[in-house]
Amino acid sequence: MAERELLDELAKTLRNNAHKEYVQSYVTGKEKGLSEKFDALVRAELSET
Amino acid sequence: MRLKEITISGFRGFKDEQTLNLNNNMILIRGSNGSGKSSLVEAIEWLFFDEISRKKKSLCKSEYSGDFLRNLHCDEDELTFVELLSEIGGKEVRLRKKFLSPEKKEYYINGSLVSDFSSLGISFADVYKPILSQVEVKHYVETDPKDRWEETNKILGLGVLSEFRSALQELQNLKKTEDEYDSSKKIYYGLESELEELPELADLADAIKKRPFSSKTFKHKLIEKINETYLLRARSTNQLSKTLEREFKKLAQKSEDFELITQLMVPDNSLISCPSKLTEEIKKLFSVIRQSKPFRAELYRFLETGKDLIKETTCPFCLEKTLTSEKIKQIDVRIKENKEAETLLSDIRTKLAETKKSVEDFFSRISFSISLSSIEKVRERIEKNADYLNEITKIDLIKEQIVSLNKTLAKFKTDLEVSLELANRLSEGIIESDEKKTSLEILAMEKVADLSEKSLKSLRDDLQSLGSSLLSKVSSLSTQEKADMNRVIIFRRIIDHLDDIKYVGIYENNLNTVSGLIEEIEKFEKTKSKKLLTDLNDKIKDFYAKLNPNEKTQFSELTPTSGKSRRMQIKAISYGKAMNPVSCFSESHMNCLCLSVYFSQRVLNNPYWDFVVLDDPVQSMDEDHGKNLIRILGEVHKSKQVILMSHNANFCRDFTDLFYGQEYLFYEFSGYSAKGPRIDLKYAPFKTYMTIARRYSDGNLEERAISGNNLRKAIERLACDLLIQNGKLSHSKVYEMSLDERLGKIETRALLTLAEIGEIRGVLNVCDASSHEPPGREVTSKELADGIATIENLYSKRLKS
Repeated sequence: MAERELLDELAKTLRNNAHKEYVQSYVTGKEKGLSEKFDALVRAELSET
Repeated sequence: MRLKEITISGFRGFKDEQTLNLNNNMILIRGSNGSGKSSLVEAIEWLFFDEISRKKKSLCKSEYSGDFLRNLHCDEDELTFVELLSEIGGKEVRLRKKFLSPEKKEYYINGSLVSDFSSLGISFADVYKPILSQVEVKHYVETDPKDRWEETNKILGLGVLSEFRSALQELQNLKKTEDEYDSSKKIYYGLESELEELPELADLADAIKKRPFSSKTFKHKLIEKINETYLLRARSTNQLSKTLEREFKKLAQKSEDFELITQLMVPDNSLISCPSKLTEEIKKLFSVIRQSKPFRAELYRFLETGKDLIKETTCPFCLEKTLTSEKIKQIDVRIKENKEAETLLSDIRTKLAETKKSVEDFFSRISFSISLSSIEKVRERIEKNADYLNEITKIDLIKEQIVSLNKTLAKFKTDLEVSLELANRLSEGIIESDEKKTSLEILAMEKVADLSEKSLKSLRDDLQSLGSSLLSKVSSLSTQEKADMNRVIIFRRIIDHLDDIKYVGIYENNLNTVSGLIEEIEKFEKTKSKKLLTDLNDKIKDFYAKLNPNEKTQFSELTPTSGKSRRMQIKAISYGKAMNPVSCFSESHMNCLCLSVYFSQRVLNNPYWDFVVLDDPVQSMDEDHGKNLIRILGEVHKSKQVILMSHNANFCRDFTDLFYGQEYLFYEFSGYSAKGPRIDLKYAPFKTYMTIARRYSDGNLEERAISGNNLRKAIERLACDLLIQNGKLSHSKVYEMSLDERLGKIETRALLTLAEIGEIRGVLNVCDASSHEPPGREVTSKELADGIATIENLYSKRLKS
């Protein structure tokens, strides 16, 4: 099974949307993307509240 | 994809360019240790997968650095490349990869430069890698069950999940120890434990502890609680802050001592963030100044007044207007520009003045806020009381802090003044704008501002803690008054630190999300691998049984341990009893099992690659196991090309015995030198010898010798095939004969005409003459080409028909 298909299947089984976002950022940016995603989510929530 | 021919140059053990014909479904390569067999495997691995298993599985990866892929003896101008002639979907495709540096490689498909080989439409995932390296067939069984779990998942194609999981774990650890988050975390958890100690604020403690944390709910609860305590109806924390300030002072008046404590005016939040705000203001000012155009007042006035005066003047000689409309337009543009510059300049001046005022304001407020004299007054008062020993130490530390803070602030003040002066001179046009200088100035100022803010924050926290501990010891206050004061203090601190609380709450929510995802991935991995393992287990069982027929000890299954831990167990069964192969299997059986695991997935379950390379699979297997493996490969090679390497002479002998009479290529790697391995083609079908003979017939003297040699071998095969196929002689009988004897037999059985045998002898003379040892005469390309044509003609006439 191709890696991408496997990650897509993982994303489908996840119920939490934030989890899906991490899968997405892993697919697009691998390790580097995760740290950036984390900071982006914190920033977004900080500016929201 | 099948492999037809490989050329290697300057790679690992290969220095000189060498080409190996691989156009057969079964290729055996024999070679002693260090003869270059693994370099050939690594060349194929590197070509497609860009790395080699030996490095990937190594415990000291860092030692594989720099140009380790390049041959040690290569000169700087010598190329490192691997070229492969392959067959994809019945078409020949030539792939080439050039090594330029560890980071830079060039890829070619049929001579055209491409970015990589992805256009070939083959999966380059590890799970389908058609190569089993030596390290892989060694360590699967005897490894930590945790590592075995990871390795099994890789075999099953779930490697990306483990990679993802480790990336998340790394992120989690990294974030947990991040400095920026650390200081806020201390405040957050400090407040949490203080709130827990105050029963009347239990609901606030609950709100701060709740996960996922909601800063909205927390703030709402806080406002509600303060309103409830002081019977208010305020909606914002700002309004409440003022009330709390009043409440604090009111309580302070109840005791002389307490009033003294309150004199330790705690610098408020707005004051603490001042240094960075001021720096930011000056930074903006610099950027505006840099963008502004110079305002030249005299020129501006001259143009304004002069334009109207001379507009109507005509030249006394040519009688034409001296100021054409074009020129007037240009003057107007200049006037407009200057006017804009003037406005901007006045704006800058206003801003400069404002900033100067803010600076002064900040310093006057700060010197009032953190006065050393009020601290000293408190010290004097409690100095003689032994109860206050702890607080005296604290006061002394705070005094030191204030002294050092004052020094930092003085430096900050000077920096601010220098920058303001610089901005002033720039805007006045006294000095030219020098971007480098101004940015250095700003950088220095920012550093000091940052330092001031940090010291201010820590001073505020220390003063607050001093205030609380003094408060608890003030005897002139009743318990109720003390409790009231405590509450005011904690409310004030929470309001001051709302940003920290919000930040930590959200940060931890995200950390929870990450650990939640890790758990989800683990669950997904377990279900997925369980499903895939069912199929893999059957294949391993089958393969292992073929390697060990008639044995009562057999592999039974790979199974993940139950519960949360990620471990993979191997189970076997011996005479009906369950056993652990790790502790009970012999080396040879372990070797068989490792091979079974990898072979089952990468070879038997591989839809992408039509070949497999096995690098020394019979490491510790005994003879019988080796023979069984050869029998299995005999089946596999009917549908897949097999390239088999071995250092084991007995195994190779068993192979030639069992493959007796079948078509295969047999190479021997021998006599390794600094130039690379010496490669001999020991056994091949007629066609392969002819291909090689043709390939080198046009070359230099050395290459023509290779051509002649292979032509001779082709004749030997021709004679064998004639005797076996047409003469119905047995293989064993034919292989025992010399070439002369074979030709004699062909003559007596009239398998060829006398003229044809004469032609063969003629070609043999050419072959022998091309030989280097003893030095023969120079055979021409034409002689070789004619010989090749003659033999080919005979073969197709007598055998193919």
